Amino acid sequence: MEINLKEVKESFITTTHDLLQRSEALLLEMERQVNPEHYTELLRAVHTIKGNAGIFELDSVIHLCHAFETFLEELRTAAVPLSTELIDTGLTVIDRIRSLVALVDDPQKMAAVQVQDVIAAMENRGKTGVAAKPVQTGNAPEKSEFDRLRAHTQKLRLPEKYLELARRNNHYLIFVVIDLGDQGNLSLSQLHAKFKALHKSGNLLSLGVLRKETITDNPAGPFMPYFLILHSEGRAEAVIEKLGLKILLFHYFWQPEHKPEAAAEPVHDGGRSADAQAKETHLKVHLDLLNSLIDITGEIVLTRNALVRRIEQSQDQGLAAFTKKLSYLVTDLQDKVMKTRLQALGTLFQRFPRLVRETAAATGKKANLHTVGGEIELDKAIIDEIADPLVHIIRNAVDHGLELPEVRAKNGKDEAGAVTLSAAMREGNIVISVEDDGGGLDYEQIRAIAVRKGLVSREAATEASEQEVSEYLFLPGFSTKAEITTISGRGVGMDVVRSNIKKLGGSVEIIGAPGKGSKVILNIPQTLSILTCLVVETGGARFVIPQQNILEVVTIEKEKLKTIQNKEAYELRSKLLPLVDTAALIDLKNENSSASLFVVLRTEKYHYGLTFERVLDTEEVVVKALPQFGQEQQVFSGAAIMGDGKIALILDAAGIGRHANLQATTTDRTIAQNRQLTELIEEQHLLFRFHNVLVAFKVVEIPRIESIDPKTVETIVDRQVVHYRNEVIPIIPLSFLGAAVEADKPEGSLIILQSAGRKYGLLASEIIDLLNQKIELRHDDNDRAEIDGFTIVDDQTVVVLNLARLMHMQMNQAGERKLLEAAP
Amino acid sequence: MLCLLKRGTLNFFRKKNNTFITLEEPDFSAETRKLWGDLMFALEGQDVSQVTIQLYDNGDLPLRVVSVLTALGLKLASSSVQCDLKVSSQTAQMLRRLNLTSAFANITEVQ
Repeated sequence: MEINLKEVKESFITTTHDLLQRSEALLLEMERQVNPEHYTELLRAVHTIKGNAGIFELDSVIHLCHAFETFLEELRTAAVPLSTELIDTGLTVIDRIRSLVALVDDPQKMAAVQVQDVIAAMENRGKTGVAAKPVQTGNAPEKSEFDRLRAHTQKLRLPEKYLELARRNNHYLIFVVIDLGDQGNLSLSQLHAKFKALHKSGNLLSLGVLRKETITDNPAGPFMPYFLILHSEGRAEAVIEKLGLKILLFHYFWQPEHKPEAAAEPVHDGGRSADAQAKETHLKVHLDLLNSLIDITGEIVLTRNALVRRIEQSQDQGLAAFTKKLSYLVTDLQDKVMKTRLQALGTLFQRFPRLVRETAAATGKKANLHTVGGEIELDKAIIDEIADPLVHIIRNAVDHGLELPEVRAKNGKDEAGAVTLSAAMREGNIVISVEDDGGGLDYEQIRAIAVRKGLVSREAATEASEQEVSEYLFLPGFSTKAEITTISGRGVGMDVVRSNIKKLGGSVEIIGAPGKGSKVILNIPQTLSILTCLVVETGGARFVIPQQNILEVVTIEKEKLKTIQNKEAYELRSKLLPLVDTAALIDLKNENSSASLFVVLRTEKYHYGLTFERVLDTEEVVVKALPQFGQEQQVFSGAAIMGDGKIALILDAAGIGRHANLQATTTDRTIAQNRQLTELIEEQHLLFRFHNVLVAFKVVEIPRIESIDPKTVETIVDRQVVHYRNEVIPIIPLSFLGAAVEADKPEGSLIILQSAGRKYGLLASEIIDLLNQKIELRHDDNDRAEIDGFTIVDDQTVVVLNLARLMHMQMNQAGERKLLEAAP
Repeated sequence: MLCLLKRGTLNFFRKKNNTFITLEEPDFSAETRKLWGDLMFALEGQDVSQVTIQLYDNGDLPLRVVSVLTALGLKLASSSVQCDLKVSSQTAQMLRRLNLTSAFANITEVQ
């Protein structure tokens, strides 16, 4: 088999990068609290790097790692608290290893990287900071020769059969080195007898001369290193004692999993650590390959969309069925391919404790970083893109946000400020926020700076609301710092952050109150490339709205349209919702057209309605970056190639909010209050028609409602199911309502409900409205359990369902069916 | 030309590019580094293409002698010099079982 050295090298770089990242996080944790497990994990990481570096003969990495191991072992033996200087030394070593590994393809440059200074620093720190020296087994020769020998033997790769044997028997696999020239008066026959006994006990796997390590010319070195490979139920010390020989050194090449105390010894990893077996189910794939897979999938989705459109126009039912199947498969494929590039945010978050530590040290502040939601997964391409913006934001939080310790103490706060980096899933998006408990936003100062730097006029600044003033922070050239430092002050921060996040189809906002800290919120899509969108048309042009921002689509009732302060608004369920006209965004206004619908959009900061003429479809679109000229319009996040091959612009919900100069979400409440609409909405019911029966149920969150083709509802055995986004969803039967089924008017809407992670569907002939009024229920004891009662709406009787009970019964029926199926 | 030499208790002679070394008691009692130094002396100052070492042992050897001879065999092999060993059959067998024979081009068992 041919080994692809390039792939091996890339794998080495990736693995080393991860291990260094983890080592850095461990060191920072150890600064707060020293835990023996931290040492174990750190030593294992460094040891693995050293072992892997041996494959490429990266001597400087090996030496540095080796010295680092010695340093850590000394610290562990001494069991002393780690000073800032010791942690600094450790971090410097990690940085140096990182630099060396980055130059793995350039041996000349790598050779130019100094490591002796760091090694000397570790030796000095080790000597001054630690009293106890490590104990070596047997008569070890002078340190440098011994170290060299140890480094060499740690690099060795043992035959797979030995590892397999040790794993199978759950034994230690031990590599022992003795010096044949330094065994006193021992004779050849005596040695032979010892090894014969060892062989009989079944412990001896192999023995021989370490040919390359025969240091015959060096009086300081071992004369004739000779190795033994043993496997044993007990630890190496017991076997060695039984052997009665002077030992130079030993390593474990495998340790049984059930013996945690053994983990204290360095382990030669060689890709065979205790959790290696678990990882064997994973395969490393080059990112380029994944990217090309995603590109190809994007093209398949486009082709699928075009094909579906063509087939819809033909009347061939057989072909339509095949296309539907193909469509599900493509969606499934796309979903799976997207998942291959997902990575936990924790990998990114672990870079930041050090950043906070260093920024705090440089600015004379004290700061602790708390992270939440590191387990949330995000497209790797997005993680790479948000890394730099997050560095800016976190630095700013420490540098601009937190006060000096003495100021904090005076204000009754803890001297160490808290910076919280959190991630959460919200409405299909990932919301990452960086919050500090510092001085918050000083709006007057921001106004003054913006005017002084000539970024806004004095008049505009005076009239601007706090909301608008916080937007000044995103202006190019804005900085609240008077002097330029390595951390901040150049005013190239938040504007770059916003433009980078925008490129990803996301948004960034700042909120904060004086004295109460500030919060920067990034709202970003979970995956790039393919988005599920609502396609709308207005002024003869098509637009695409990402579904993650959509709350609902509403038909405009003219009498509910209001004009307040020359701005259009809509009275939606006793609240005023600001409206933005899609056509006006790019001057498409057509006198003959009038918007009849609006979509309610919500971002972290804005909540508004976007009007348009008609809804065309929902479609999965492939996101394409806008050309340079299109980027000037801040209301579009990209373009999409539609099924018919034409292009539609993707609307950016947050960008439109800013462009239309909307107030934050608090504004609609203010307007509502001005209109003295003080009625509290206590209950909300969804009203729909099921054939000739009016039905309602109480909703906590508005459920998803889809238009469906009644033909997609199938009856399998004794129940109805529907295909929805590549899932088979059971339909909750409403036959108990006794509705007179109108065969010529089949149910055209599907209400998607969720309970205990499962989806259920309710079929409706027509969705009527959301009722925001208190309803009076008439309930009879003889009513069915699925019915809460009856009420009157607009002089018509409405059956109010108990949805929880209905879903529970559906679930129980499914359970009973399973039990019956499982019965012999 | 045949040249008979003596270094400590060690006997050796050279013939053209070949060096013949014989070891017997009390050579076997020498310290590791001393024995190594003597052997190095025996090989210095000339181009050697083959070394033959004959041991007059009684079926066993001190381990330090074995280590010196094995180290010498490896050193010579790395310089493309053939090293042959003549030992008792018992010693030869033990050397084989301990995986020490690879240092030598040939091991001849002598009675």
